Amino acid sequence: MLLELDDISKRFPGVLALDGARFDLVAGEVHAFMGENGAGKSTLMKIASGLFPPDTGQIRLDGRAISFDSPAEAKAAGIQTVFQELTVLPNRSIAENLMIGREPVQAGGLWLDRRAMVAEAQAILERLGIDLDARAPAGALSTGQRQMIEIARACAERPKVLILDEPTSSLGRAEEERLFEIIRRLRADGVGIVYITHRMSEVFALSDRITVLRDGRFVLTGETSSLDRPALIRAMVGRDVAEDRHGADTDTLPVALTAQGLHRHPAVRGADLTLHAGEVLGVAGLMGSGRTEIARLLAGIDRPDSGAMSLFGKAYAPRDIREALSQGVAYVSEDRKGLGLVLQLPIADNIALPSLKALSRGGLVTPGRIGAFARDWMTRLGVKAASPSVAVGTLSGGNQQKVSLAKWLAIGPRVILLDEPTRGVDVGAKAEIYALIRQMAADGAAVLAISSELPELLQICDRIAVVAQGRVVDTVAAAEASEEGLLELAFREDEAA
Amino acid sequence: MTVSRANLADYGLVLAIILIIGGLMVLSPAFRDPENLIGIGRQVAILGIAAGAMTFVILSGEIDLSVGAVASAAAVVTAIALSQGWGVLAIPVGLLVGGLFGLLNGLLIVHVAVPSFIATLVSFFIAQGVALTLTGGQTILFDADWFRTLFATGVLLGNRAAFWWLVVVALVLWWLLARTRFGSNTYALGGDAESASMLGLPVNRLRIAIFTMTGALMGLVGMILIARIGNARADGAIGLEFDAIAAAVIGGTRLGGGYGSIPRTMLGVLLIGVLNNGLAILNVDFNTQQVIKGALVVAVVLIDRWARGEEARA
Repeated sequence: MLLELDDISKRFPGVLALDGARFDLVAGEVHAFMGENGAGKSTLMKIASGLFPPDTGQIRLDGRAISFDSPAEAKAAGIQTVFQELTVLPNRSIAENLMIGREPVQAGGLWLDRRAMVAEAQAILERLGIDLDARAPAGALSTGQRQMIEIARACAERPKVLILDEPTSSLGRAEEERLFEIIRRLRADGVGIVYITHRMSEVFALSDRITVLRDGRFVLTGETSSLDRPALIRAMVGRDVAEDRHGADTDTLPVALTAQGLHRHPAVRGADLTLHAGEVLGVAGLMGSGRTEIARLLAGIDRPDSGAMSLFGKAYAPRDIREALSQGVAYVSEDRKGLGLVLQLPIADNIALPSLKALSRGGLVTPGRIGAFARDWMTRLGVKAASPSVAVGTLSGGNQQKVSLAKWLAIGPRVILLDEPTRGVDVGAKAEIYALIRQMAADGAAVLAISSELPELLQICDRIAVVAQGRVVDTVAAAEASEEGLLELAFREDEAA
Repeated sequence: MTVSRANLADYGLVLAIILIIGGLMVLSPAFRDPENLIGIGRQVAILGIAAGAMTFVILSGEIDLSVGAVASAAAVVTAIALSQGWGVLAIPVGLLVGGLFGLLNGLLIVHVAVPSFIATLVSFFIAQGVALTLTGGQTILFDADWFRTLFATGVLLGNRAAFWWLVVVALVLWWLLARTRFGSNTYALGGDAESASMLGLPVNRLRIAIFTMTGALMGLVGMILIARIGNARADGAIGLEFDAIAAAVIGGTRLGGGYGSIPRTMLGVLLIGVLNNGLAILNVDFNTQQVIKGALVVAVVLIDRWARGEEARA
């Protein structure tokens, strides 16, 4: 066994990212590592790469227990990793990037041998079939080219273990083929390769074995030849689908918001969407599919490069979020802390913030009026707190989210865009928030909900739009949808592009 | 075209210096006097060493506000050592005082996780406090001709020792930055600190080394300063930090890190030196000179952004 990660747990503030996860790798294999967004794949591989230590568990390399205090130690031990976050330095040449940390020197280390550095870098590029001048600055490279440089650097260090985290996410077809060739050659040389990906076709084309992780826990390891696509999706999804489904007949509902051919470089590429008053429309998609970016266009945060939107039959082209709000379109961010709430301010001030104009008399607002207003909304949404003057930062995730919702509901929006409405919210509060969301639709609002959690979408939505590659690829009735079916759609389109 | 814009940004500075020097030569006989031209070399020695060190710091993505105060403190301590008859020992003492303040900066930044702006502000105050306490607000006199010859007044090839110290320091800094792994890592750190650490570079040791080296060089600056004027005051080099930053920025060093070089910073130093000298000869008063220096920094930043904007879009 080349590399063994055994019973690894890791807790970050508020989340248990890994819970007894394991993974093993033998020399000369390509081992695909799969799981839904947030399953903990990247976290586990960052531990193997020395970025941070596990809370519990063991790492063994060639049968010997090891622990890394830094990425440098993992590299020295022969573990090379290409992370999703690219580490190509824009201010250095390609050669300097390729040779960093092991630049050739002369005169006993007093002097860098630049000529040898460029020659060696050029040789690496040629060996891997990358057609670039090693002396060119790396800052001008495309994301795909940077990715290739990153891979070339890892390969050049002659690793025992090569970890690739979604290496094809920014590659074009030709580069992808080249990468596969490189991977097969390394495998033949006896390198153990961990290949993290979302793309089924790559898994079946490349890998010898597959391991699936779910919610930070080990699910299965198996020979690729013994697994098929439905089995993998089942393993990744795992849970039984909730029974309670909604299904408003959207044909009878008035159209609230439409989008046609929305483009915004680079994430949104021709999105069409229809949202009805009185329905909850779910938006599903993999990380990076463009789902948040589409919502930001609808909310007026970003402006589209092209395409048109309408709101209750009238052209809708908000210049900024204020204009969208004034027309009754509210956006509840997935980043509650960054964009949604002022954590150090009391609940009352947070709820009243967008409604201050309505609450003021002659430009002045009194604490009494704000308090009463906030208390009213806290009761309606069931915010559990001692009083409206408690700072929002001291509340639980669920209560913070309710305050965030109250704040926008208080202005009486006609369209409500929710991005990950239950992120960081515990199970009990989730059910309450689901009920609130249904209530908004029942009261006649048009609700759009983005979520990474498919069971959540199936439970709260009437229809679900699947987003991939910046477009809505299909819209299905929630009553007839399944997690497997939705994932299938998201994956298929992701690969087709 | 991208290339022409980038080139303009690269050579614009050289062009500006040539134009200004040419203009001043035509306008003023006093300026074109060879003695005056050699004198400019002397005048920029202290600024040049400080700006060279500052280039290293800025390239790594940090800032050092303490250089003037540290140089002053080192100057005071060296002067006291000389006046007490320590002789040659005064030199390592001066370098050590500077180096220790630099080390303090580095340790605060790395181990207390204080931003360099704050950490070096702390050192600024401490160094000022030390210098004021030691001098009691008085000027420290010393009597050491050998010292003054070595660091300031000794003449070689028509120029004084201070200038030759600048030449030596600039060459060493250039070599470190452009021709050693230490320099390579400095660029990497300033280009993207997070990437540099993920790549396994010793980023913490690097930061400490850069600040310690800068401190030690400020020890040298302090010694040149007192060797030149023959006495030491607690506020001898205060304000040097801003001139050093200005020279580095005029030379094209990008605040935020990653881009810049020693030769370019030295061009920035030369431009400031020529301007100061020329404007003084043309009887432009000191306050107006300051305004012109400020305008120059803004102009350089704008040109840099313009040239880079084109790069980013290409």
